[in-house]
Parts: sequence; structure tokens; C-alpha cells
Amino acid sequence: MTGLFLFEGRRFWKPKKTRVIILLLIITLVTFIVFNIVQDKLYWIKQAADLTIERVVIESEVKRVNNELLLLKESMPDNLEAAKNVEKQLDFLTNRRYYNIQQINYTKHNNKDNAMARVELWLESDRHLLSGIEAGFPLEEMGFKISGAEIPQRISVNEYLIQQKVQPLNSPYEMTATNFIYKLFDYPWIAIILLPLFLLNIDIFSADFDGGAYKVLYSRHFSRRGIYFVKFIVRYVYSMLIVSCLLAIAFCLIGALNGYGEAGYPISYLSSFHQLTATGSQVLLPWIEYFYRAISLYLIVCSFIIILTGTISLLTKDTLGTLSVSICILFLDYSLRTVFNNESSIYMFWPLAPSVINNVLQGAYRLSALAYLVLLIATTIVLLAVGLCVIVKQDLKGGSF
Amino acid sequence: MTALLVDKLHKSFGKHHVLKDVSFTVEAGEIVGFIGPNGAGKSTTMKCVANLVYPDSGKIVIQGHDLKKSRRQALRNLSALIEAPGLYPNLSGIENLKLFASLQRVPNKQVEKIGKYTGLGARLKVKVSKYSMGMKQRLALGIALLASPTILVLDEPFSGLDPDGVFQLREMMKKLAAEGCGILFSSHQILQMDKVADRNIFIKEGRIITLAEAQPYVITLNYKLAIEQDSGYLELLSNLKESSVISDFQQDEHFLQISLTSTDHLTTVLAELINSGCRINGIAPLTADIENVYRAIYSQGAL
Repeated sequence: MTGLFLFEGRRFWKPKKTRVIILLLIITLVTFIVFNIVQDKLYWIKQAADLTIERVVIESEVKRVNNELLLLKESMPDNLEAAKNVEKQLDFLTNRRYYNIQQINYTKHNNKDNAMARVELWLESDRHLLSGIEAGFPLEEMGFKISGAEIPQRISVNEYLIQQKVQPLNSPYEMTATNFIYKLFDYPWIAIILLPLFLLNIDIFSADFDGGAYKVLYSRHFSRRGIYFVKFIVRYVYSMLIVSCLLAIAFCLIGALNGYGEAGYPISYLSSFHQLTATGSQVLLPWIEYFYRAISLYLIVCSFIIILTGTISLLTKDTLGTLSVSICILFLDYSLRTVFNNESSIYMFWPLAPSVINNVLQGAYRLSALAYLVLLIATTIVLLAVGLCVIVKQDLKGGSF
Repeated sequence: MTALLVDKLHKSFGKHHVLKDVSFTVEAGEIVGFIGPNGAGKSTTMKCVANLVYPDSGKIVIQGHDLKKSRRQALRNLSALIEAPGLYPNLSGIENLKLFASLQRVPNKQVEKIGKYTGLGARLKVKVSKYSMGMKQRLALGIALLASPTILVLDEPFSGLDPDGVFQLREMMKKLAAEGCGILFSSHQILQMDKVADRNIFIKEGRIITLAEAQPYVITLNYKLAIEQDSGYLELLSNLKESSVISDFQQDEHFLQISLTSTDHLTTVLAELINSGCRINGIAPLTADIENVYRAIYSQGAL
């Protein structure tokens, strides 16, 4: 068996393909980091622009409501109730202007020292905005860009930051080491992890058949079962080593250059992780606790991708065929999403349904994250068993170059 | 000792019955040629021996170990080169050698020795995808010889080799056989086979041609007779040809060469010649030509 491990190890590291993929992974990681740094720099410029637009909206609304109030007082001086309602709206808009001016001011003089004050201001502003929604003011009609679900979530995060005295991020894009990992588990950046895993394993079995080398390998005294498992073990260990080590290096480098960020930074998470159905509520977890949950999912998702790629490679016995089938699976996934709505029960059995780790932990899968883990593990085991049956039972033929 | 025993092997691919009751042996130190046209079942038989294809029934015993029951022991000393050379095209020759050496835990010295044997020299550092067929064949042979096998299965080992390579391989096969290695090999170059094989096995449409069946083709019908100079037998020989006792004859100064229509007619011809006063000083059978045997066995309607 040692010979087999040595053989597979050499076969993994020797081809140029492995080195090219490592290089591509490094380039992609650097691109990802640079992209986020640029987004971070642009964030407050965009915020200032958005707030300026909001200012214009507020000013015009203040004028409009003021005029409405004057008209009302002139035309119906006895209708005090209606005047009081309009006065409330005017009062709300005046306060919004007050918040808006302060917020614009912060976007110009934003730094780490006044970050907590900024959070407090945004918290107050959001609370005020929420009170406006609750009072029934037609904010969207007025021209405010607000989302009903976004405000309470932002409030709870900011409350958490203040209560726990957690240093806030400059923006959602700030490249602290912890935020780097969090963003990597999000769509579409998860591809940075999964694509190299796919490419590193695309020829796990097919390379033997492409060149006919299987005739030498499988006519040796090793059992086919042994060859099958050694291939997966070696590929899994080395692929994961490459990806995880590069992520760890990037984590450390970012940490050293840009700060590690707060391990207690709050991340939204669906509380019903351990239950079968996703009936829980969104709670905030410190980054470190979220990371522990995400890492188990990361390992299972990576295993699933490696085993899926390996099984396709074994069934097609052709590297280009493996690529074609994988593209077909992605197309099928896209088609399913087009044909079936989010509530369809088909997604309960489709392992690619949630697509990213963060979505699973935040309740995107119809059942719980734990149920998704079970689905992935079961699918992985089924794929392993199918591959094993094929390799053990099948006559090996063909393959030459 | 029997290095390889193949007993009553059957194999079908779908409805196509590829191997029908194939049985033969290869003794230790013996070189056995496996002859048959394309599609006769040579490669399938060899793949069964190399455990790449599972037979439907039958038994394969390698060095006393049943391939089904003790696969590990059976395959430990077997090396096989089946059809086209099995290599990793995106690696260099030396990387391929080292890769397969690591699989069998062959020491570096042996790798260097085999590297020299392949005769590829500096080309060993070139990617295999850039090799010619002959170079691939040399490298694949080197890989097959890495672990000093005691039974060697070679499917078309001469294909793509230049004359030097063919000669070198023949010598290597003889050397390995002298060291006790049993060799089963197939080739379409039957003259090469005749030069190196101790004996040949013929396979036709998945069935081994038995010795009894092949006998009429293998046993010679041609004899050379040393006779006293006399031209008086020409009429007698012409009569024998007319009566289909012989198919042909040639006579020169001291020798008479006759081709019988059947082995039974030898005594008749000799008796007729002696009775007519011919003095026969010696008689020798002329060896059956492998090409003629091949043509006879595989010609339409034969067997």
C-alpha cells in the first residue's frame, strides 16, 4: 500500500497542471482581496452619494409637506387632527434631515477612532427610520431607498456592536482576516475554493485512461478497492492541503497587514441549526462561533465536490468528458432554479441548492443546516459506493494516446 | 514449474462470445508465441491474465496462485504490456519510470538500469506526448521490466520498434527466459515470433487451435532426399504427381525435393523410388514455414 500512496502522491504533484492551479488560486485570492479593498475605499464615497440623494429627497419632501401643512391650516383651520398628522410627518422629515447631515459629515471624516460614534449615529438613524415605517409614513413613495427587512437586521448588528464593544468594520468589504474568511464563504467567492478543488481532481481516474496507464496500474497486485480509496485519500489530503494552506497563509498575511478583525464580530445565523426544519429565528453569533459551524460545512462541501468530480472522472474515463458532464450539471442547476420556485420540494434533495456556506447557515436551505449536512454526507457516500462498484466490477478497456 | 496456466476461459461482451474454452500453459523459462488475427481473442485473453478483464468462467493460475482466490500473490510477479503502451503523456519518460518504480518500490539503481535499457538517453527527459510510437514502446517495455517479473505478458511488443529495438527485445526476452521468466507474447510479425518463441499457440475466433487440429499444418509435407545422380525418376515422379500422391517435386544434381499431399504417402513414394532402382542416401523433413502454417490455419474454411 505504501507504494500506492507514493505513486498517487507523485502523480498529484508531478504534472504542471497542479502548479498552474496553485498559481491561479494565488492570483484569484489576490484579485479577490484587491477587489474588496477597492470596494472598501469606494464604500464611503458611494454612501456619501446615496446620502446626498437622500438629502435632496428630504429637502423636497420637507418643502412639500410644509406647503401641505400651510394649505391645510388655511383651508381647514378646524381640522386639528389632520394638521397634527402632517406636522408629525414634517417633524419626522426634519429629524431625518438632521440625521442625514450628520451622516454625510461622518462619510467625510470617517476613521477608526470615531467608528463607534458612527455606529451609534446609524443606530439612531435606523431606529428613527423604523419608527417612521411603524407610524405608517409612506417612505417609499417619498423616495427613500429602504428595505423593511434590512433595517431591523442592521439595528440588531449595531446594537450588538455597541453592547459587546466590538470594533466595527469600516465597511462590509473591509479586508480584515476574519472578514476575508466570511466573505470567501459567500456567493460568488466560494468558487475560489471549489473551482481549484474541481480542477485538481478532474483527472483523478481519467488520466489513467487517457494515456492507457491504467493497464499498468490495475494489473499490479493492488486491489481495485485499495487503488480507489488511496486515490481519493491522497487527492483529498493534498487538494485540501493546497486550498486550506493558501487560505491560512492569506489569512495570516491579511491579519499582519490589515488586522485580524474582531473574533466576536456579529454574524447573522439561523438558530435552528440542530433541528430538522428551518423554523428558528435569525440570531447574531460571534465570528469565531460562526466559523466553527462554517468549517464543518466547508469540509463536507469540499469532500462532496472532490468525490463528485472523482466519480464523474471514473464514469466518463475521460478528462474532457468530466469537464463536459460538470458543465451539464451546472446547467441543470441553473435550469432547476429557472423552472422551479424557491418553495419547490425538489431543492430538499438537490445538493447544490443552497450553493454557498453562508446561505446554508443563514437559512437558505429549506430544511436546517444540519439537514443539509446530512444530505451532503449521504450524497457523498452514495457517490463513493457507486464509484467503488464500478471500479471493482467493471472490465477495464480502451485508452491510448 | 508452470508459470502460467489458463484453463477453460470463457468471456463474452454482450452477445459476442469472445473467448471459448481457452486453455494453455506457459512454463517457467519458456517463450510462448500467441498467434491469431485481429479480433481472435489474444488481447482479451492477455487482459484476463493481467486482471483487467474478468472472465465469465475458467481459471487462471500464475506461479501456482489462482488469480481469483489469491490475486495479490498471483499478480505480484506479473508484468503486462497490453496493446498500446500505457503511459502518462504529460510526464517525461524518466518521470513515468520513476512514477511506476515508486508504485512497485523499485530502487533507484534499477530505474537507472532500465532507463539505459530503453535506449532513450536524453529523450527520457522529454514529455512522453512528444515520443514516437517506438519510443513509447521502449519506455513501456522498460516499465514492464522494472520489477524483474517472473511472468511477462507482452501484447504486440515489436510494434513500432526499429530493427535495433526488435533485436534488442528478442535478446532481452531470451535472457529473461534463461533466467526462468515465462513469457507469453503476441505479435502480427510472425517471423519475429518464430525467431524467439519456443512454441506457438494459435487462437481463432476465441478458440485455441489444439495440437491435434494444428498437426496437419505444423507437420511438414516437404522432404529432401539425397539421391544418386540419375534423371530416370522424372517419369515416375510425374506419374505420382498425376495420381496425387505428391503435389510437387524438384530435382537438382544430388537432391530430390518432394511435396507430399499427405504424410501417409511418404512410405509409398519411398517404396516406388527404391523399386525403380533409386539409391537414397538420406532423407530429411523440411521444417514447416510459420507463414504457411498461419495461412493454412487462418485461411477461409480451414479448421
